[in-house]
Amino acid sequence: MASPAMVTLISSDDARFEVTEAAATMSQTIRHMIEDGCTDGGIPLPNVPARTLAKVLEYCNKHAAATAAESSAAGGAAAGSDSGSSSSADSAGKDDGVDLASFDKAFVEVDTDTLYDLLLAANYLDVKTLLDLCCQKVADMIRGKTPEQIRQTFGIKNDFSPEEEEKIRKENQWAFE
Amino acid sequence: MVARARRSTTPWSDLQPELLGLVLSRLPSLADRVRLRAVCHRWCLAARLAAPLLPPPHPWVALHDATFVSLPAGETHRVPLPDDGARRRRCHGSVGIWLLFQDRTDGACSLVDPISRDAVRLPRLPSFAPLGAQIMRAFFKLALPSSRRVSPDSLFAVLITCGDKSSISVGQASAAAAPASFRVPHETISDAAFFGGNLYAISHSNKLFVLDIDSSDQGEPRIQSMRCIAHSINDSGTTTTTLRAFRKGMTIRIGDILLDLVVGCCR
Repeated sequence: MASPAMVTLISSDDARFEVTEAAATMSQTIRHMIEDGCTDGGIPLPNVPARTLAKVLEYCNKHAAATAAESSAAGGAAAGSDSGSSSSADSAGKDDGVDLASFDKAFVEVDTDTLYDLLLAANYLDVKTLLDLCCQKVADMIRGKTPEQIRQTFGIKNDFSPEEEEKIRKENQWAFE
Repeated sequence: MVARARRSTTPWSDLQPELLGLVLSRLPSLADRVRLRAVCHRWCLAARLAAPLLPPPHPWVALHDATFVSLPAGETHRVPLPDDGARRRRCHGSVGIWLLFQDRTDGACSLVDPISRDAVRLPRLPSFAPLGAQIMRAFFKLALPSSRRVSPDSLFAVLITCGDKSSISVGQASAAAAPASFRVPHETISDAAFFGGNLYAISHSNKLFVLDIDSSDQGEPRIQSMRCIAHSINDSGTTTTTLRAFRKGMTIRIGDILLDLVVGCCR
C-alpha cells in the first residue's frame, strides 16, 4: 500500500505540523488551498495558534482514520460473497460509531478558553462536524441556566445597568421565574 | 494556569454573532433563547439578529389558566395575558403562535400572541349567535394560511362544530362586517386547515374536502361550495388515531396532522 499523501500546516506562531491529506482536508479551507496549489513550503494558517491547531488535528486525525476504516470495511463487505462477512463489517462499523461518539464527548470536555479557541478555529478552518460539536457543547452549557449562571460559566461581565436589566426581565417575566 | 494567564478578560461576550446564532439554533426552548438575551449587550444584539433565521422553538401546550407547558422538557411558564376584560373571554385554542379568544358577552373574537402581546381583532363571527348556551360544548378551530404572520388583509377561517352540525366562516382580519358563514350540508366536520392557499376540511366520516373560496369580486371572500376529494382516508393509521383522539376531545396538533394528510393526498 502506498504511503498516504502528507501536507505541512504552519500555525500562527510558526509551528509546523505534518498530517495526512485526508485529515487536513476535513477542513474545507485547507482543501481549497490544496486545490488552488498553495501548498509549497507548507500551508500557513495565520489565525490558528499551535496549541489550538494541535487539538483540531487530533480531532481530524481521529475522524479521518475512522472514515478510512469504515470505507475499507464497506469495501471488504462488498467483496465478500457470504452474508457472514457483511454482518461482521456492520458490527465493526457500529463499534466505530460508538467509539467516535465517546471520543467526541471527551474531546470537548475542556475549559471554556480552549472551547472558545476550538470554536473559532473550527469556524475559520471550516471543519463542519467540529463546528457542530463545539456549538452543541456551548448550547448544552447554556441550557436551563439563568443569565447569571451563564455569565459565571463563561466569565462574562454583566454590562447592563440595573434599569436595563429590569426592563429585559419585565418584557419576558415568565422566562425568569 | 497557563491558559488563564493568556488573556486578561475572557472573550465570550465578543463571540461573533453568526457563531452565537449557530449556538442558538441548538437551543430549541424559547425560555433558553430569551434568557440568553439577558446575559450581556452583545449577546442580546446577536440574539435579536439571529432570531428571524432560527428554527421555530419547541411548541407549548396552552392550559386554560394562562399556564403553558414547554415540550418536550416540560418546563412550566405562567404568561399573564393583556387583561382587557380577561374574565369575560374564553380561549378557543390556538393556531401557530396565536390564541383565539372570544368575548363571552358580545361574541367578538381576537387573536393574541402571548409572548409579544400583539393582538389582532377579528370581525364578529355570525355562527356564534344561534349557538346560544350550546357554545360551551361546541368545537372551534381557527385556520390561518400562515401560522406566524397575521396582517389586516390576512384570510382566516373558523370551523364551528356543535352536535352534528358544522359551519365554516372565512373572512379578512380587518373586515368591519361579519364574514358569511357556510353551513356544511350532510357532514360533520372534525378539522379544517389551509394548505398551499386552499382550505381543506376533514369529516367525521373520514372524507376530505376542498372548499372553494370566491374572492374574485370586490366583496368579502366567501365559501361557494365544497368538493369531496377523498372518500375514505381510513387506511392511514395516523388519521384514524387522530380522529379517535378528536372524538375524545383531544385537539392538540390536529392541524399539523391534517396538513400531512393533505400533502399525502395531493402527491
